[in-house]
Order: sequence, then C-alpha cells, then structure tokens
Amino acid sequence: MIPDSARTRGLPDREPVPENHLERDRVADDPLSDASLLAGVRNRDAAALERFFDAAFPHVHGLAIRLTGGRREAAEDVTQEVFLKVYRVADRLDPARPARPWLTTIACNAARDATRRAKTRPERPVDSTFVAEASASTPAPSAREESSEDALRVQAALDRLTETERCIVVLHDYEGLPHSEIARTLALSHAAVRKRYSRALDRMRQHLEGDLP
Amino acid sequence: MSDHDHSPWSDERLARGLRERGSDHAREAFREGLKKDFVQGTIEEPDRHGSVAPGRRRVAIRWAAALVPLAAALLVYLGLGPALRVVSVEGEGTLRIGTTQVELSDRAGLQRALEAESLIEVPEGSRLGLLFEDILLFEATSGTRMTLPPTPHRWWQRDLAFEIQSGEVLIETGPEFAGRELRVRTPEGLIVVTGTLLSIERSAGGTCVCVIEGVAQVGRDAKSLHPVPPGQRRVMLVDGSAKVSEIVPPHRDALRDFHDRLHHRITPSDG
Repeated sequence: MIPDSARTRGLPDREPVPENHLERDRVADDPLSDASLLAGVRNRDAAALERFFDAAFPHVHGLAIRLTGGRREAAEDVTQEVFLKVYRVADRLDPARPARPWLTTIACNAARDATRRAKTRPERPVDSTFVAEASASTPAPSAREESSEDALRVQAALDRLTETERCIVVLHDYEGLPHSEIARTLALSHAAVRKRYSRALDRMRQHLEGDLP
Repeated sequence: MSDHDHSPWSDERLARGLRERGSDHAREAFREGLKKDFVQGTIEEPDRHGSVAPGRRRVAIRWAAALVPLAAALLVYLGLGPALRVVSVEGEGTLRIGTTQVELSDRAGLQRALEAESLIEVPEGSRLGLLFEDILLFEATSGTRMTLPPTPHRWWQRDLAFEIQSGEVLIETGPEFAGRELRVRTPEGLIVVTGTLLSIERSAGGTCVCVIEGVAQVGRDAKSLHPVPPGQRRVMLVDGSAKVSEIVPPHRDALRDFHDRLHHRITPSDG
C-alpha cells in the first residue's frame, strides 16, 4: 500500500490551479487553443496555416529573442526551426490540445541548440541587438529610455544564466507560466523549477548590481 | 527580510525588463518570407548564420576535407550520450541478456553484460531499473522480454528505440529528454513518447499504454498514431482494434510507486 506521504508527493490527479491570472486569461483567449484552427493546421489548410502563423509568430519569435541573448540571426534561426517542426508534425496534431505549450517546448529546445552552436562562433555584443536599434530609431521620452536600458541590462544578465535557467525565467516572467507548467514543459520536477528560478534571479541580480556605478 | 529586498532589482523590475523588449521586433522581410514558406509547405532548415568570411572559405574547405575522417570519429565519440546504467534491482534469479545469463545479485556483472539492442528477459518476481542519465529511466518488471535501446547521441541520432515482446515496462523521461523521441514497438504497434511518465504492458491479449504525465502517441504504425493524454490508457488488441479508457487504479498506483522510488535517479540534484 502506498503511504499517504508518497501519494501527496506523487503526481497530481487534476490540472493545478493557475498561479496567476495571466495563465487563465491566456488559455481562455488564445487562438492557439482554438480546436478548429488546429484541425485546419493538421489538414495543412492554407487559411488555417496563415492564421496559425499570425497567432504563433509573436509568441515564438518573442521567446526566441529572449532565449538567444537578443541575437537576431539566432532568433530567426530558432523561429524558423520551430515552424519547420510544426509543419513536419502537423498531421499528428491533436486539435484538442492547445498549441502554445508544445510551441514553447520546441522553441526552448531549438534555442538551447542554437546557443550551443553560437558558443563556437565569435559573439556579437548584446548592444548590437535589435533592442538597441529599436530604441535608437524611435524618439523616446526619458521613462522609455530608462526602460529600454533596463531591458538591455536584464537581457545581458539573462544571457549569463545556464540555458535551462534562462528558459525557466523567460517562461515564468515573459510567458507568465506557473512553475508547474514550466516543469511539464522542461520535464523537470516542480521543486527543481522553483529552486532554479529563485537561483537564476539571484544570479541575475548579482550581475546587474555589479554593473551599477 | 531576504537579501533581495534591499536590491534595486526587484522581481517586478526584472520581469518588466524582460518584457520590455517587445514581443515582435522581427524583420518584416523575414516574417513575411517565413510565413509564405510555412503556408506553402516550402519551409526548410534555416541557413545557419555566422558563416566564415568568403576570403577564408577555400582554405577552410581544404582543411575540413583533410580532417573529416578524424573529426567524424572524434565527433561520434564525443557526441555519445551517457551509457546505460543499472540503477535498481529487485528480486532474485537469473537475467538473460542476449546469449548470456547473469545473476541479479551480481550488480557489476549485470552492468558489464548490458549491450545495446540485445534481448533481455527479467526473471519472474523481479524488476530491473535502467537509466540513461538525465535522459530516460525505465524499469522492466517481472517476466518482461524486451530489447535494450542503443545509447542516444547528444547532437544527432538523439532518439531512442526499443522493443517489448512481453511484460510491462515503466518509463519516465528526464530533463535532457526534451526534443527527443522514444519509439517503442510491440507486436501490436508503435508507441511514440516525447516526454512523459507512462507504462507499456504487452500480454497475450495486446498492448496497453497508460500515461500519467505528458502525452504518448500510440497506433499500429507511424501513420496511424493517436495521442494518449495524462490519465488515459489505450489498449491495442491483437485483432487490430483499440480501446481508450481512464487508467485503472492498479496501473496508476504502479506508476506512482515507480515514480516515487526512482524519480530521484532521473532528476539532477539541485544541491
């Protein structure tokens, strides 16, 4: 007989309650949860593929940029790999399952591979990312400039984390995923995700505070 | 108060800095080109950025051609993933591995005898837990006959595969499994696992796949796979039909027990 302590340590019988409102809102309004759209993607219907791309691209590219240290070329490679994989496995899609979680998983894996490839090539400084270009090309009030500077600094600190830590922080703070869902996405335990997330933020603060005058 | 309460970089400021990048600053040409290729089905592998400057390309190619055989051998060696390890043994008796037999009490002998793609037969009343570190944990239960998977590579040939002739195998994937596939064949069909906790039981009546976490794709062959979500099981009968239902308590309890006993083996310590 399995003791109660083992049961409670074990696997959930039901989906956990979302830890923040972002999770609930995302699932409810998310076109990537639309079963009819996903059924069209499975059939490789052109109109459905277009709608799917328009819905998925901001999510995938946004993740890719953050996970690859703001390197545009690497982010584009990652984005392309994700959509390539989607197209290849389209006929196996289950329309009843929202697409966002598995897009996230594919993007995390592709970004990790891209990061490892990038370690063998000379790196471009983070300052040459599109963020600097975007913020430079747009006249900005001081508050906006300050937040862009924060964005650069945070990205630089993020880039110094391990690939897994970076993925956890991005999924939690950018995607708004609860630790439980991040754990499922990355095939880690809930406790491991929470611990690594906390450690990652501490490491980011150490880098950021070291950069302050 | 914790240390970071004094830091100017609060959790909220960090998260805001992360979100501030904006979600879609992609090059318009890239986005539109990718969309067109995706919709038309002409999407290809990305042309990896960061290539060598043209003036150095010819020299690079000559060197590469000269070193290819050595590099290939080295890459194969370095690219090999972790070797298969014995992590748990319960019960007594003799394990058949290919043409050899090893006592379950001889742990070192078991480890030496493990050979990829060899057929093993677990004695009745026993269990054998095997591990590709951080990638895949599986336990062959009493009376199971199965082949052992070859070592997965780190960079290519990352997928795993084995065959179950009879018996039950409990499976849990690890943190380095993400992005890989595990393909398990039984006489009734194919189970494709992309990251999950599940059991596969093959008996005279057919194959039963029970999933606790993640999703497994199950079917007669690669063209007729059906997803089995958490809490469900799919039974492929020998007559070719299939049945879907909720996992029954004995299977659920067995998987939870397996997870509780051995999960620490597949999850790296956070120490």
